[in-house]
Amino acid sequence: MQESASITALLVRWRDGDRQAESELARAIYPILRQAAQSHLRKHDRGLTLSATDLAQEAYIKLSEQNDVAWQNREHYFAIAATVVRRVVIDYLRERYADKRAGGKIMVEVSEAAEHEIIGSADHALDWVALDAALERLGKIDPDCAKVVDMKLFTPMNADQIAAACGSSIATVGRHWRFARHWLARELDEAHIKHVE
Amino acid sequence: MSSDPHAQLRELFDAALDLPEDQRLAFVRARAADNTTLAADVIELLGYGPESRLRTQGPWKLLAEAPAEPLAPGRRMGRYELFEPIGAGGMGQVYRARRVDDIAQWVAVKVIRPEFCAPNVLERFHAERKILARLNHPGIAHFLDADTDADGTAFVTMELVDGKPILDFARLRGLDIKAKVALFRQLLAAVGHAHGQLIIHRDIKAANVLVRDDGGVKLLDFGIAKLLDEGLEMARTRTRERLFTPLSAAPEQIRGEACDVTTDVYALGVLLYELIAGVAMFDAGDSTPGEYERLVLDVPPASMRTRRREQGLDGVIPYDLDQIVQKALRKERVLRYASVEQFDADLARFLTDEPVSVSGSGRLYRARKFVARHRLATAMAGVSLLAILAALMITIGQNRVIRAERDRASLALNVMKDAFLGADPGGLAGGEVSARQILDQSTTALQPLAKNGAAQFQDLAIVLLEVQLSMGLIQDADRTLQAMSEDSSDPRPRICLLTARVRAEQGDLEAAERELDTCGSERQLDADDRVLRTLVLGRITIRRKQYPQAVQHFETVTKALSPTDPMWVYAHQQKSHALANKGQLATALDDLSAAEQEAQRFLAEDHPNFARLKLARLEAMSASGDRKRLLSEGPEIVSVLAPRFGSESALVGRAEAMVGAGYMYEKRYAEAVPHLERSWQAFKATFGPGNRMTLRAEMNLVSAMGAADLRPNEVRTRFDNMIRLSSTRELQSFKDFASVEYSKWLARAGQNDEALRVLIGMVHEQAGLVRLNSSTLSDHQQWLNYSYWAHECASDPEEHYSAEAACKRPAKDDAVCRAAQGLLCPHASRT
Repeated sequence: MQESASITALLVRWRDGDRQAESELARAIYPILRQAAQSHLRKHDRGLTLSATDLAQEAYIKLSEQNDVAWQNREHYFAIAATVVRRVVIDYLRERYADKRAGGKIMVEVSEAAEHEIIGSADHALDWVALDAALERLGKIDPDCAKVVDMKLFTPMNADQIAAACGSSIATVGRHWRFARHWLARELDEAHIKHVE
Repeated sequence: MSSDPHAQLRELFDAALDLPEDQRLAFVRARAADNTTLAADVIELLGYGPESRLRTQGPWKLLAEAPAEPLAPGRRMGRYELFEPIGAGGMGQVYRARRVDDIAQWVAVKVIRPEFCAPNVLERFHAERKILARLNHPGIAHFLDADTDADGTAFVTMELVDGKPILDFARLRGLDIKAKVALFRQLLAAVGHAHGQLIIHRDIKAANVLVRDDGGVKLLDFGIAKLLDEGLEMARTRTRERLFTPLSAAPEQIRGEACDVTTDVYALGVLLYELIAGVAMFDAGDSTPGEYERLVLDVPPASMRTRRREQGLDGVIPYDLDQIVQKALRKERVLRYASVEQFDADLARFLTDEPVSVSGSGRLYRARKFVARHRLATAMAGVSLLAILAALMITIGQNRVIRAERDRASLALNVMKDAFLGADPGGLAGGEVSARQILDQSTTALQPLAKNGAAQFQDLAIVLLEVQLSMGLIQDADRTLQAMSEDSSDPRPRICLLTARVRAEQGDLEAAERELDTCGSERQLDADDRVLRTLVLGRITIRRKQYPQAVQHFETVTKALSPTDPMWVYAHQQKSHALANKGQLATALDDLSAAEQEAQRFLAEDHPNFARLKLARLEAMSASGDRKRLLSEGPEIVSVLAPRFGSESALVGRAEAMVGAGYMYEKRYAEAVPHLERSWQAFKATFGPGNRMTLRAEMNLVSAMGAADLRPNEVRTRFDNMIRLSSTRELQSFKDFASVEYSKWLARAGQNDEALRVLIGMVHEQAGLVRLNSSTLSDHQQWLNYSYWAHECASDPEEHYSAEAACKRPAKDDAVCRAAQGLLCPHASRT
C-alpha cells in the first residue's frame, strides 16, 4: 500500500507543523476523491447531481478503511479534504462543460444553508467557476478565512467541528464566515449579473 | 493597526459589523479618517451583506472623467481631421473635426478611450446606427458615424454643436427661474422624442446638454452610453479602484438593474435641480464612492430651498417647483413621473401658475389632478403605440445580434403594459385606433417571431396574453397560447399559470385545475406568480359558485397587491361579486368603499381604477338582485364615468349594460333600450363591431327593442347584421343563438315564412343540428314547429299542432313548408 503509506507519512509531517505537507496531502487524496466522484454522480430527474458533502464523506470512509492511514479523527481529515473536494468538483464541472457532447448540466450540491448564505437567494445558481477563482484569491490574502469557507461548503461539518479542526473558537469561525460572505458577495457580484442574464 | 492592508481591512470590517447597523458608517469613517481608501473599501464590503445586496457599477464608471491625454491637432481619424479638443466626456475626448474630402462639413469626433472599447463595439455601433437614425429632433445632436482609425482607435462622429453647457449658459445669461424652466422643457421635448422611439439616453447630465447662442438646446450622446456599457459588460475586467461615481446615476443604475424611461426622468431631475438651485443636490466632494452611492440609494435630497440656505445662498425657490423636482428624483421608480411628458406637463403648469400635480404637501403623490395617467394611455393607444410596436418588431428583427436589447424590449413591454393593463385599454382607447386593432397588429407582428423561436417572443406573448385576459378576449388569449406552445418548452411557471387561467375563463375548470397542478406548488413560485395562482383559484371557485372560498382567494390577492396594480381592482371586483352572490351585498359595498379609500392614497383621482371600483358596485348590486338600488345608482355612476372616460369607453359600456339589464329584469323594456344602445355603441367603438362582447350587447339591445315593440325595421337590420358578422367558426354558437332569437322575433311579428327560412337556413348551411347545445336545439325545434303551424301553408284540423301531426300532413308545394316539414319529421321526409 504505497499510497496509504505515503499519506500516513505526510500526516505525521503535517501534524508536526510542516505546511508543505498539507499541499502534498491534498495531492495524495485528490485521486481518491476523484474516483469517488466518478462513482458518485447520481442521476436525478434534472440531470446529474454531484453532492460535495457526500463525496467528502465517502472518500473519508474509503481512506479510513485503509487501516494504516493515521487520521486523528474525522475533522482532521475534513480540514484537508475540504479544499480538495472543491478542486474535484470544479475540475469535474470544467471537463463536463468542455465536452459539449457529454451534455446535461451537473448540479452541485453543497451544504445548503451555506450556499444560500453566499448567494443570498435561491433565485440564481452559483457560478462555481467564479466562486472557485474567488476562493483562490481569498486563500492568498486570508488563508484561514478561505479554509473556513471550504469546510462550510464542501464538508458536512458544523461550526463546532470546524472550530475544533482549525484549533480556533466558534466565534472566530463565525467571523471568518461573516467576512467571507460579504467579500465573496462582492467578488461574485458581476459574475452573477452575467449569470442571470 | 497592522500594516498589511488586508489585515487592516479585516480588523475594521469585523469591528464595524459588531456594531448596530446605523453606527457602522460613522465608525468606519472615524476609525479610518486618515485612510479613505480603506474606509471606502470597508463601506463597500459592508454594503455587500447578503441582507442588503448592493450592486456596484462596473469599472467604466470609475474611470469616467479621469483625464485622457489629448491627441495632437491635425491628427487624422479615418476621413476626419481633428482640430482642437472641445470637451472631455466619460468615454473620451471630443474634438472639433472636419471631413478631409469635404472641408465645409464640420463635425464633432469623440475618440473612444481604449478601455471602453469592447472588441465588437463597432459592429454594435453599426447595428445601433439604424435605430439612432430614427432620432430626428432639433434638440438631439445627430449621430453620424462610427469607425476606427489606422491604429484601431474607435471614434464616433456627431453633429457639431456650437454651444455652451446648459449650467454655464444659464449663469452667463443670468436667467431667472422661469426662463430656466423654459430652457429645460426644450430638453424634455428632445428626450420625449427619443423615448417615443424606444431609445433611452441613460447618461443625461449637464455636460451633455449644450445651448446654442440662439437659445436652442441640444442633447449629446444619445444611445452611446448604452452601447459602451454593453460592450464592456461583455469584455469585463474587474478593477478594484473606484475613482468616481457619476453624480446623476439613478438608484437602479447603481443596483445594476435595467434602465427605463424613469431612469432618464431621474437624471433630468438631477439636472433640473442643479439648474434651478445653482448647486448640486448632494455634496460629492468629500464622500467616497460607497458613501455617495448610499446617498443616492437611501437619502432623499434636501429641497432646493433648504439646500440653497445651507450654502448661504438667497433667492426664493417656488414651492411647486421643488415638489416637481422631488417627484422626478424619487428613489422608487413607480413614484417618479412615468414619462417625460408628465414631467413636462407639470412644468408647463408651473409656468402658467396653474396648480401642478404634486402640490399640496399632505397629499403629495395623490392629487395628480392634471397629469392623469389615462391621458398618456389615450395618446399611446393612438398612432404612437402602433409606431412603438412597429419599432419594436423592427428592432427585434434586426438586432438579434445585439445581445442586450433588454432595455428596449422591456421599455416596449412596459409601454404596452401601461397602455393596456394600467389604464384600462377597453375603456380608454377611443379615437381612430381601437385597442382591438392594436392587439391584432401586435398579434400579427408576433407571429413571425414565434416561428423563428425568438427569445423575446415569449416575453411579448406573455404580455399580450395578460392584456387579452384582462380585456376578456379569451379566444384571442387561447390563440396566443397556441402560438406560444408551438414555440418551445419554456419552463416558466407564468406561462403555465396563464394557461390555467385561460382554461378557467373558457369554463373548462377541470382542465384549469389539472394545469394548475403542473405549475409548481405555492412554495416554488415567486411572489408575482403566487398572486396569479391565487387569482386562478379564485376564478375556478367563483365559477363553481363556491363563493366563500372565492372570497378568500380574492382577498389574498388584494392584500398582496397595491392599488396601482390592475389586478388589484379586478380582485376587489371579483370579491365583491362573490360576496353579493352570497347575499352579502352590504359587505360587498363596504369592501369596495374601503378599497376606494385605500386607492386614494396611491392614485390620481381620475385614475380609471376608481371607475372600475364604481363599476364593481353596480356589478355587486346586479349580482345580488338588488335592482332597485342598481337602477337608482346606476345612471348616477354612468353620469360620472361618461364625461371622464368618454361615452364610448368600455367602462361606460359595462355600466350601461348593467343598468339596461336591470330594466330588462324589471320588464321595463323601453327604458332599457337607450342604455343598451349606448352600451353597444361603446363596445363597438372599443372592440369593433364583430367582437363577441359587442355582439352580445347588440343582442341585448334587440331583445329589449323587440320586447318593447320598438323600431321593427332597425331590429331586422340588426339581426341580419349580427348573423352576418358572426359567420365565423368561433362565433358559430352565437350565430345559432341569434338566428333562433331572430326567428322568434319574426314569428311573434307574424312573419312566419321568414322565421321558417331562418330556422331552415341554420340546418342547411351546416351538417345538421348536432352542433347546437341542448337549449338552442329545443328552442329551434319549438319555434320551427310554431312557425310551421302559424304559416299559412299549414293547418291542423285536430289542433294538435305537434311535430307528429306535421308528419302526417301531405307534403306541400311550397318549398319552405316542405323543408320545415322535413325537419320536423326527418323519418317521414324520405318517402
